[in-house]
Amino acid sequence: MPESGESPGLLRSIALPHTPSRSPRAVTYEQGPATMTFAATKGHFFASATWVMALAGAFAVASMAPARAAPVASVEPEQSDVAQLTPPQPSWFFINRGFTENSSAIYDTVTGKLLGHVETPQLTDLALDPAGKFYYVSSTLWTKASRGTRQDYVSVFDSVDLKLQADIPMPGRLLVGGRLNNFVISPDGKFGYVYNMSPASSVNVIDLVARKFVKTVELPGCASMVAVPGVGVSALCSDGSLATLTLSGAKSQITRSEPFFSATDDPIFDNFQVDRAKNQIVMLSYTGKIYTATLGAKPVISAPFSLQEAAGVPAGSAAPNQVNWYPGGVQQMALHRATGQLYVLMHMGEFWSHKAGANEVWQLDLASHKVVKRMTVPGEPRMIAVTQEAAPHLVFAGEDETVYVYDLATGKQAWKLDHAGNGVITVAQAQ
Amino acid sequence: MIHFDADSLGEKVLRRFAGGTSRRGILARLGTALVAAPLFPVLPVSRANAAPAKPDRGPEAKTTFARGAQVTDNTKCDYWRYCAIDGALCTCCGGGVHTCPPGAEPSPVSWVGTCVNPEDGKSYLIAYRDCCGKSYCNKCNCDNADRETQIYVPQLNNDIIWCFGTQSMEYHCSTAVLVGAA
Amino acid sequence: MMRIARLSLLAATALFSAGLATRLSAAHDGAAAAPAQHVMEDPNQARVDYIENCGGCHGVNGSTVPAQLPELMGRVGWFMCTPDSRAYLLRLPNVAHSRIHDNAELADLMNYVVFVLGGNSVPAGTRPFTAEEVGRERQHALSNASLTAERLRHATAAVKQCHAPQSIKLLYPGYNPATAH
Repeated sequence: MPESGESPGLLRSIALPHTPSRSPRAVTYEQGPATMTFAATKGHFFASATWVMALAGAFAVASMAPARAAPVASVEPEQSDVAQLTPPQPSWFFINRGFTENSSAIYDTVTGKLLGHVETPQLTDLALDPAGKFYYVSSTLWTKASRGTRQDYVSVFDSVDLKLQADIPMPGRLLVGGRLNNFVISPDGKFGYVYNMSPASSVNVIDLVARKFVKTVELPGCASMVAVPGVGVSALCSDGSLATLTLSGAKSQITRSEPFFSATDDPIFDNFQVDRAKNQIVMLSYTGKIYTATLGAKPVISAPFSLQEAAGVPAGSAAPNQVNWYPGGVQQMALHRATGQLYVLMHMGEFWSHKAGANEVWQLDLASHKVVKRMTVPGEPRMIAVTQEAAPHLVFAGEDETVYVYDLATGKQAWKLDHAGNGVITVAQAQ
Repeated sequence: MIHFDADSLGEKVLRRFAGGTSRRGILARLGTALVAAPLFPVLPVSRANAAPAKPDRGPEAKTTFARGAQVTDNTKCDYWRYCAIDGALCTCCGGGVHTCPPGAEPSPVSWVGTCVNPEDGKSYLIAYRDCCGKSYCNKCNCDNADRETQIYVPQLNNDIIWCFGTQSMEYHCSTAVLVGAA
Repeated sequence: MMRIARLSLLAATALFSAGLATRLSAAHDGAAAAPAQHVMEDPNQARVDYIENCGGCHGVNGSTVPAQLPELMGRVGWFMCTPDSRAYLLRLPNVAHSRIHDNAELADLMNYVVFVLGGNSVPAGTRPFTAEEVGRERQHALSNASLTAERLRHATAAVKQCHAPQSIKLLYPGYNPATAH
């Protein structure tokens, strides 16, 4: 399997028949720069370019010997054109390129190819239109880069040509990295909800059809949202409950579930997973407790079970000096909805190591509460996602920006993508 | 009418602080900030009221970070005060452990964590104030997490960009300001 | 009276710098006196608790201007004006849901906020928070309300009933939402 997603492209260009028409020396000249230009655009593939030129030279030498009619090289000037995408495919993933880059790269897990970038400046949040027509980016910039007037807005990009459709101004948003649930879209695609902290907590409601900011609603003591169809949003709260902000009526209302977790002693990770089909969320706590909640005006929260016990090891503990397998990272788990398999980044350590990179990925079958597979993984990943294909691909990334793609049917590495990114990974038909 | 009743205070107060010589030492080391704090009205210590329970700090010295922390080099991620720092260290960016680099602005708003000083085994309150208004320094990046929680408890979260009340919220680097004994 | 007050001041300074606590009235700064109050059981712990749980956002000394937060220093005491506004302080989600589970400890913290950070803004005759009061009010956290609207309601009452300055209605004097960052 090719090591890099980009080398197959170069191989193909060499394979095309390209017969010279003039003297061998001219042919060499003709072929040389063309291939050099192609290779030079790929920066770090200069080594490949040298190899390509050697091959081009070989073509030239070979064509000197036989005395046949010389083929005609094309000198038609090319036109510049622009590639287009399709609406996002289930095999794609988007990886935020981290704190210092200003974009999210789009890759296809089937081909390993980089397809393009969505502009996602530092600390912005990407959300996909459920119907696949648009990419939404919840953004903050200042008029003079790091100073000037602050501007907060949701940018709308067409998913086929990645052209900007609109910027929707809004009052503000929380600046924090690595979060999936601060910018969520309603399943019907009509509303976006942006979390703000100024430092008081609130939610900005954005009408994505009219492309207008609607209103701000205070949400004291809560964060990390999920859109609830027909109701509004739910969010995790500091009193250990799940709040529901009802936006469907004339007056906003906040109700809270009974507290079910400790926000300070065993917090539930912000980056819980959403299952649209079941209208559920799957939550994971620092000690490895798994909870599910069925959403609605009155959410129903399950009793938790231990991820570690599901793997046949002792349950995780918040007590000091207890070495165990603990979940950790920034984007700690990925749910494959159709099969109910949860993939969790796990490392050996003690409590309060919840940001550590993983040594293993555990595959938890949610229905049976059993860890059915444990995979040793390279690169100490802190981000994990899984495509929602029938034959899913696992995607994970560590701090060094190497992204690994695994084919879950075979359990083997499909691609190793260098310098791809180390930020949040988004997949289609997910949140 | 005010009166100062040394007798009713004296015995219990002395008993509470007997053997607590480190407290005096801490106050001296922390400088005038604490000692010059406003004098405030207090309850007379009465045996009828049980003293409120103090938080148990025992587990704080037992984390992996606490066991490996050092006190000599504040440009390294294992420096004791950095037990829950997230970001670039201002000490590597032209600033200091409580000093913003030139041109950056300290945020008045931050979160406060607790870290254990290996020299005395005691917990200290550390304000992780970000320096803001300049582009990301991107040197000496650390991401430690002792007692750090999620954003719905913002006062214990270190991923949030703590640049509220500054001219710009552009994040430059993080400091670790000692603000008291825990 | 004054001689005893001065003696107490001296003794208190000495004792405080050794980490001990003494009892004083708010008259120590010479302003119009509130009568002596029994306010905190463990003032050192109250201050530590404040810094650890609140001081990050609200400032080690209760001041964070120009951040968009209610300025506590010299102002928060006005919210002791009515029974409702007292309850408001305890029902704030960050107070009611504090990880300080001991109500006496939380009462100490809130008394530190009101009487020490609030300083002269505490109306004369204000009784300190008790553990019982804290235990009762924290069950009714303001989780379904606009905190902005609630604060304004109680600030308005304090202006009317306790002669608080009009500026108490703002997060801090001179606050302008349009230009604040």
